[in-house]
Amino acid sequence: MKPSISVKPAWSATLGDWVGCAAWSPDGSTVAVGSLAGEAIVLDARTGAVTAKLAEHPLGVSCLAWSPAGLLGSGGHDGVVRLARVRSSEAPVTLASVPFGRWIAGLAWSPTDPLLAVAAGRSLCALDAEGAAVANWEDLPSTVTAVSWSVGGKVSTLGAACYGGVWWYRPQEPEAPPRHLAYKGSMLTLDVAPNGRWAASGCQDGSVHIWRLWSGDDLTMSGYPSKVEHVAFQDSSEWMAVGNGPEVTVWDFRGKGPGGRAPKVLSGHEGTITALAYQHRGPLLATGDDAGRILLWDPTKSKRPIQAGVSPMGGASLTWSPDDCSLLVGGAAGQVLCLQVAS
Amino acid sequence: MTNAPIDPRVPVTVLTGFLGSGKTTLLNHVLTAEHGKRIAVIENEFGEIGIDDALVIDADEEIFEMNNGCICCTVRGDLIRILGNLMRRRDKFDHILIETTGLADPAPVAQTFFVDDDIKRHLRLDAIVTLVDAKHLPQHLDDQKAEGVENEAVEQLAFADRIVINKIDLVDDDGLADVRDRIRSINAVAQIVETQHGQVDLDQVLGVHAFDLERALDVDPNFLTDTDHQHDLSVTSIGLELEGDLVGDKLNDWLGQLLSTRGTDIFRMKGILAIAGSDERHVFQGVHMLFDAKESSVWQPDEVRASKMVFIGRNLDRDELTASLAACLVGAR
Repeated sequence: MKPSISVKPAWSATLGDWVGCAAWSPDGSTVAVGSLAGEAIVLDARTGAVTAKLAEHPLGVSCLAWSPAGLLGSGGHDGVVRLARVRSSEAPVTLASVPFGRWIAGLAWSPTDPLLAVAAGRSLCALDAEGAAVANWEDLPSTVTAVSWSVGGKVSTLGAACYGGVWWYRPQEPEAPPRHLAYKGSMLTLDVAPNGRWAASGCQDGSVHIWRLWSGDDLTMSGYPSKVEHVAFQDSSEWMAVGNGPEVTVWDFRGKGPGGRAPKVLSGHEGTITALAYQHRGPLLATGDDAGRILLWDPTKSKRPIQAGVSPMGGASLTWSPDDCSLLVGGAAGQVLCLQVAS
Repeated sequence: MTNAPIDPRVPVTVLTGFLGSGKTTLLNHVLTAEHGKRIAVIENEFGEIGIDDALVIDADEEIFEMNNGCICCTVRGDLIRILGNLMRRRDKFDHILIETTGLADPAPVAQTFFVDDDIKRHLRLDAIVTLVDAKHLPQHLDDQKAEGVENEAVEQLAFADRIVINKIDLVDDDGLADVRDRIRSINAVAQIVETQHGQVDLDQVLGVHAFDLERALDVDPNFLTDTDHQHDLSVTSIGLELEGDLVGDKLNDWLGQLLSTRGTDIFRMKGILAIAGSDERHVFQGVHMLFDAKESSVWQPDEVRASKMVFIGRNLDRDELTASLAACLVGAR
């Protein structure tokens, strides 16, 4: 039986350049988007109307992150991280502007504490809600490419990926030596399974490296044709999708994990996959390629896409709304398209 | 001759040279000259560059080892990130210049352009340009290094497609002739440009197409007879030329074996090959263990099918290379 999913374009907007990042407000009423032209704007989720313009990041916005408490963090190629309070019907208030002097490669709010992780050059930092540094780690061996939090009990640890593996820090004990999960390769992404059991990192050498977080045991899924930049776990932690070239592979993490199992291969893209995102709580996977094709999949049910859409100029980013009913497509030439997904 | 399709990829020039050779002066000259190009500069040493229409990005040299199957190489992780971001911008640059530190080995920069798919798709390595100081080059070349440590000045010359001898006003004619000899003994292929105060004609350093496989056809291996000025250097250039057809499988085996055992010693290589059973010329070029190859123009009936190869590397044995290549000829035992 074919799953019945309907996808309708809701609204569109235009920014000055590549829209590589977006973040939905916790209540889903607005969405922030940033472009390489430096603008960071907040749009009404229903209409696409601009509700706020944030301070620009000259040379480009690289990341946006909205905290559960409603603070919007933005980082850019100007080497600055800003924290802003954004409320509808009020002009945004910049609470802090923190210079790092290096491209900001990643921002991530802790799921348990009001802490924002910042990856800037070879350093990693945890800022509090006022923008003060709670912890600063300067000792990483190369530029940090991705940050992600892992929750164990009530404590969150912060992972930073760079050449040589992933380093895990505890903001509560900033002086404690980090836990190093080593792999001799240049790590480009970092994702932690929602159940906290696994961490996955896409590599420059055409592989995905997987660690069991409790034991530190690891395995490598190699043989991808090019560097792996798009990896995502499904909410149930049972599936992990990897986009590489025109294909999506979906690995089975049920039970003992993906070792020795062949992945599902999803074919439908013609261009190179440039973005990939699972729903927060649903089964759907969205992927976009540089030819402008946006596909929706239900990989546990079918290896064929269930819906296809086309963005005018290649998808640079895909971000699901908190209720999983809207998909924000950031385009390579500055277009923003909001798709309504109903099942 | 057929017209090659226009390559939409943005050209990238790598500028190497010792501290004091005048790289910053040359960069300033390139940036301020009237050429109408939008240029992005990625530099490793803070210089005094402040230019309106150019973007200058400071990079931290991050050298990553890569293992892809049986091929090991080093790449510049920082360049992969920076170039990847530059390519996403809508207002593309017309040319990108990468300045390396005075002590840098050019190999990781060059290899980055062979290894990363994004970079290969959007950018093309135009040439490695090495700047030398006429007065101090002989001294740099004679620097004694610890066992196993390569002399960077020698490496930078060996990798170059263009060598700019700067500050020629600081040496007399004999001194300049000596500098030319020293350069030729290492790299007999690169074109030499002589100048003062970094004032080079921009066409000499930008738009060189040195890594363009079609230009491999320009290879002239005839420098092989020039053995008058042998200095006691282990890095040399060797050109081979051989008439007749090569057996594809044998050639592959030999090149595979050569690169896996001697890849670290072979800095640059390029050539044109006549392969038995193929109507086209096969052209190739490489850096250490990495190489690109493709079929090129068709051999005409009145042409002599012959192969030409050029190697620049350390401890290369001409007789051994010649014999190995000859053993790949059709009919060779």
